Amino acid sequence: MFQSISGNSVLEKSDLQPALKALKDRLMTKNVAEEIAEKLCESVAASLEGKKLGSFTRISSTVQAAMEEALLRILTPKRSIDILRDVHAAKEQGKPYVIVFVGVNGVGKSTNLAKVAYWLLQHEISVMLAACDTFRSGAVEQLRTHARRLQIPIFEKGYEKDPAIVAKEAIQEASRNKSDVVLVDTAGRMQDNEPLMRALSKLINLNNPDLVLFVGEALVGNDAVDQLSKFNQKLADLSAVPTARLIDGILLTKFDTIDDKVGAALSMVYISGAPVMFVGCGQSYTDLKKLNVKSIVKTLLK
Amino acid sequence: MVLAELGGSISRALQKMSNATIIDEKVLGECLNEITRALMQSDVKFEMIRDMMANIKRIVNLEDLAAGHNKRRIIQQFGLFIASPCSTALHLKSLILINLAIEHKANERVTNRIRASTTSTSSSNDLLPQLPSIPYTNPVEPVTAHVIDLDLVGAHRIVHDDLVAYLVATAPLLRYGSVIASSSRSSGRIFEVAVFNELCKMMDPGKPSFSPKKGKSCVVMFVGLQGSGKTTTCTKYAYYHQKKGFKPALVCADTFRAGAFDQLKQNATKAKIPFYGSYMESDPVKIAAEGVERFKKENNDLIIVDTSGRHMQEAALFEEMRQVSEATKPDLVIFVMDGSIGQMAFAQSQAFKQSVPVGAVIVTKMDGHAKGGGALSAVAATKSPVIFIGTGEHMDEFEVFDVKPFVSRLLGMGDWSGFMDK
Ligand SMILES: Nc1nc2c(ncn2[C@@H]2O[C@H](COP(=O)(O)OP(=O)(O)OP(=O)(O)O)[C@@H](O)[C@H]2O)c(=O)[nH]1
Ligand SMILES: Nc1nc2c(ncn2[C@@H]2O[C@H](COP(=O)(O)OP(=O)(O)OP(=O)(O)O)[C@@H](O)[C@H]2O)c(=O)[nH]1
Ligand SMILES: [Mg+2]
Ligand SMILES: [Mg+2]
Repeated sequence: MFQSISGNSVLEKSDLQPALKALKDRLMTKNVAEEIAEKLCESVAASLEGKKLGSFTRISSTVQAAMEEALLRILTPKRSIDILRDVHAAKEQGKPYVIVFVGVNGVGKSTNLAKVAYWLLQHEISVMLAACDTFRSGAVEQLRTHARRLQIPIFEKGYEKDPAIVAKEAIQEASRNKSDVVLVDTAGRMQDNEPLMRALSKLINLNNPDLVLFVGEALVGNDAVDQLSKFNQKLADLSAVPTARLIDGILLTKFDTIDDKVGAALSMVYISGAPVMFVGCGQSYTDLKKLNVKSIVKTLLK
Repeated sequence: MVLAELGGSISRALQKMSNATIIDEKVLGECLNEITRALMQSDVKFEMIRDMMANIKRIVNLEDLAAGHNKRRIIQQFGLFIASPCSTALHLKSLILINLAIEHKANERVTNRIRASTTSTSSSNDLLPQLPSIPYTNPVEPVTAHVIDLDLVGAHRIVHDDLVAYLVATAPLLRYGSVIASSSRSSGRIFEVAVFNELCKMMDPGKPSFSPKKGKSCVVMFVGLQGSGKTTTCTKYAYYHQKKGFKPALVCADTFRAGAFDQLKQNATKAKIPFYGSYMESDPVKIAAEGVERFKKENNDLIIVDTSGRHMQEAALFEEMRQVSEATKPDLVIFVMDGSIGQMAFAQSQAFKQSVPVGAVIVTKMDGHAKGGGALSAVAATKSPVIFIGTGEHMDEFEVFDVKPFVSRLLGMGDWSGFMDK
């Protein structure tokens, strides 16, 4: 595709440009946000500039290899969170382990919360659901249906209650009935809706959960960057306590709807630094997987 | 505002270009790059942007055209005409004549003759017998954009497309009495209009969608990906029409999603709209048919069918949708799309269109930060217009959407809806 340069020429920015442009385009067709694709290409350029190109090596393959390395580094989690281990640790301290599911509207928070409940049940962990979406029509009934199907308890106070208080009462109830885990469902909200973000910050501050899980859908385009950065930023800015809790991990949903356009995973991880802890890939309880970093990288570069 | 940021970026790019003293390949290239970037950031499909850029380049790069030489010269002549001291109306007539000449593949000699006679200040009316007279009171008064009223274009179809673009572009110049001094300037304007036209083309499928008539029973079916906002939008759509005097009714044909019927029921109750659904029945086709039949009997003129979310990778779900459509015979199928969707927008909406006769698009969640470029993909893939946008979770957070004034506002060109009508 690009001219091969033989001999030991030193790579200059202008040599790299065409290959990088092609790579950026490829990432964007795979649904990586423009800003992220651009930043990645810049850092790959910086890492290669001034380096010597081996004999008979194509610039395009050098660039591709550098990009592959960068992608692997970004997508491989820096902090590892082992939920099962942490749940057992909390249990030993006699406390329920609390996970709060947050995210914008309709991404799959409630459905994937139910899938996580199912996964925990498979590991013989007792689960209670907390219906803290007290706003959207049918949200409480939706969670109730899941609780019934999974035969697990649900804590609910109907609609129009303060979700922060409902969550608090749910956790107290879980301590009483010795549930190992409380899964807190929250209403969907747009990342720049100040009052709703404030309410979410209150819920998190008041209850200090063990895990704040951001639920994002793999279908999302450039907005992925804004969603994650604003959720983090608002949670930091609106927090009433000095050490604000931010997003700990990501649950990436609707992975079954995107074919090879897997770029949202990269955008989300790049911008937040949080690991993808689960991948939702369907509408039934068993459709929950772990992210396969290698296959994502391969797909992105294909 | 929807897509406003995209509009801002594009018009900034265009502004920068037209501020340049010399508009050459490089300036145009930079401008195109900026526009490409703005479109990418708004989630417009990559391939569509590539095609759009190719089209713009084709229009602007006159030399590449078959009629290249002629046209280039003619464009330069335009510059001359506008700069020459005769009345604006006369310019227009001469422009139109030249177009006629192009249309009829007149040779250069003819064009030159026309030019010779029209540039002179003497009356050239004898040359224009077949043209409608252009109303103007004072021959030296600048012709306003409205006088140009592409009447001449629409009704008589005598003006070549690219030149229509040129005419429209120069209208404000005429209005403000400015002149175009060089052909480099005019290629800038042509470029600008090419961008405008390409955006319109992307947003505007060219045919209006079905619209319900009061008192005449019709069925509207909502389809879309999971969580796109169908159920919420169904109620908004019903509520909007109810306020206009319709008698809407809602049918819940989503038997899959947990709590789906409760959601629709609670929404409908809030809006005081009759609804139909079942907790027991699991066949959406059956419920849909029953609901529609019932509300037809009750003389509801707008029967809205909500369906489950689905995606193209699950053939069975698409088959189910096809069956619901067959059972309810909808007058209109509305594809509901989340405004933040990325590069999958095109493939998914195209797949819906291939299974059911999608006739309109509604883009939701435009109250967020998303720039909504996926809407462009959905329009292209379904060949259907965007008719409403959702701007919040509440029932009344719903806006009618009209593409043309929108695109022109987007580019800061004022409301030219009248002009772009074909
Ligand atoms: N195909 C597919 N659909 C999913 C997946 N996860 C969730 N869904 C569907 O997405 C839709 C929305 O899911 P919900 O769980 O209600 O989403 P939510 O984020 O709780 O929505 P709100 O509470 O209204 O903001 C439902 O139809 C789910 O079945 C997934 O991994 N794949
Ligand atoms: N902010 C905002 N939220 C919206 C808008 N339209 C819908 N929503 C929210 O998006 C979420 C999903 O909406 P639903 O109407 O349940 O979507 P659906 O397409 O019916 O979902 P499924 O039936 O599960 O496929 C809900 O939380 C809605 O309140 C909108 O225009 N703005
Ligand atoms: Mg929910
Ligand atoms: Mg629904």
